Amino acid sequence: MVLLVLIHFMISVYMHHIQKPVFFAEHYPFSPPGHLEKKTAKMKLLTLNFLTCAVKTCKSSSDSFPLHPKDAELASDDVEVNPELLVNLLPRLDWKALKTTSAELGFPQLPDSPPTIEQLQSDDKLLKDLHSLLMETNLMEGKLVCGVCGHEYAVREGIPNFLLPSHLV
Amino acid sequence: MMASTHNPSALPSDSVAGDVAKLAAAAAASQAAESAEAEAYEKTHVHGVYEAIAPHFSATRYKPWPAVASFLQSRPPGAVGLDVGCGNGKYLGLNPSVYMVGSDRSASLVALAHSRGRQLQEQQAQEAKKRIAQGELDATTGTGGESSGAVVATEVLVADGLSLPFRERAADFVICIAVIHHMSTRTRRQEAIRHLLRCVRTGQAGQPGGQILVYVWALEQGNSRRGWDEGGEQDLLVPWVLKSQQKQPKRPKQRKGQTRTRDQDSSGVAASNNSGEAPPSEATAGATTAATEPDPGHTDPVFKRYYHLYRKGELEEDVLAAGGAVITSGYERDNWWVVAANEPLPSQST
Repeated sequence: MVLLVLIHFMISVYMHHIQKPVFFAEHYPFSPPGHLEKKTAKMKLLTLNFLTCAVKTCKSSSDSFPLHPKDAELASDDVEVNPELLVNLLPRLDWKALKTTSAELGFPQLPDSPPTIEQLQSDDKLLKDLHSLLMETNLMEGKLVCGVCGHEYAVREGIPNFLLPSHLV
Repeated sequence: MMASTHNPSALPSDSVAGDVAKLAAAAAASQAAESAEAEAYEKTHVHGVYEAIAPHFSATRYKPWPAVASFLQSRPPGAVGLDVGCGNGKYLGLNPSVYMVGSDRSASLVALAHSRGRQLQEQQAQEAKKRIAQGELDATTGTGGESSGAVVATEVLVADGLSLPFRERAADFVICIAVIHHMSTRTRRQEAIRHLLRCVRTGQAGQPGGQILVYVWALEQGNSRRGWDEGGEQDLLVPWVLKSQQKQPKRPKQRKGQTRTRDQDSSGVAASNNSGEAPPSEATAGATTAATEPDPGHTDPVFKRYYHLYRKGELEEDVLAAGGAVITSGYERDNWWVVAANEPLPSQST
């Protein structure tokens, strides 16, 4: 029980921080305020949890997932909360990869294990915090790097390009 | 390809086995060459064409296919889905309760899909504001009313169908609409299906695995004006006439060996179908070598896309060859479709 409260507290504190766009400005000085505009093209942090290297020989190695963001420009936006979607998404997440990704993007550490579905359903604050991380945090520009082959996939205007040079196909 | 299927141990002598090994090596080399050739061919006759016609193509693609729409709408909330070959992304926001990521080989179409998704979101945000203003929605929580949540239609990326960047066995479903028929060899078509199957969850005890929905153009199009039907040529170059914006669409002259047809979604509803799309004119043609060709009847450029028209039963065969299990399959307006999963078949609880 104490552990659950502690996990909850950690997520809350951490989420409380990232909900504020100013957080990104502080940690990513190369990300100009203009990039916080809501209209700008972007990709949700959640999507990163489903992307791996496109090179066939990398896929068998666990180091190819998740991809590592490099020179990332982030932005936050407002998205309507969809509780049912989030609760059902939870078991589909690779939490360990999410923890890695968020740490690499400079956020405070996530707990080792995900909240339970019951916790998410009964705790509105927790739900909104997770929503904020997955659905409202965006990658706009930068690179996604494979931990095996080292290939850097460019992300421009929120769109990653996974077309491979001929020597990697 | 055939040589590599021989079993050397069944052969009478080492020298023959050596010859077979050489043959197998040669076959592997020729297979690699064949694959490179097929790739180069598709670059000219598929990828290059879509890059060139992207805005025009996209403008004619907004009506979802009924079987695709019902497949998407029957997915449970929170399901994670992929749309491989998403084109302009018309299926991405169709069910707001699922999370979808789209990929396409054409960067131009992906960019269009992304801006389309953003427009959808803005519209939705404005409607939500209106509802808040009208007091129908709780402004403090942003929830309520009939809204089931935000439409997610912006998650798109550029990728090749044979080198997909998706975490394996993670998705609940994959749709692949009017894509596989652009692959120019059967090996590549089966390989593409194998890649789709690799993206979806495998079934576990009591839990059905993820499903893929594949749509391809049919050879049997007896009710369309294209004039294709059973027993005909299956590998074709199909022209796309890029109409200039200023001109009113004119009815092209009927010429010998040409049938005036309309294309929708390369899944082609016949011209008589009142679906509200504005299809470009399209004509059937045999294989030619150029992707574009001056047409004496037109000043508009004509782009030729490669298609493999599937005959009845062929799609199911390809699914089986790719290691999948067919759940249901059918025919809808000039297209064959199949819903499949990884072996073993998920329990049919629903």
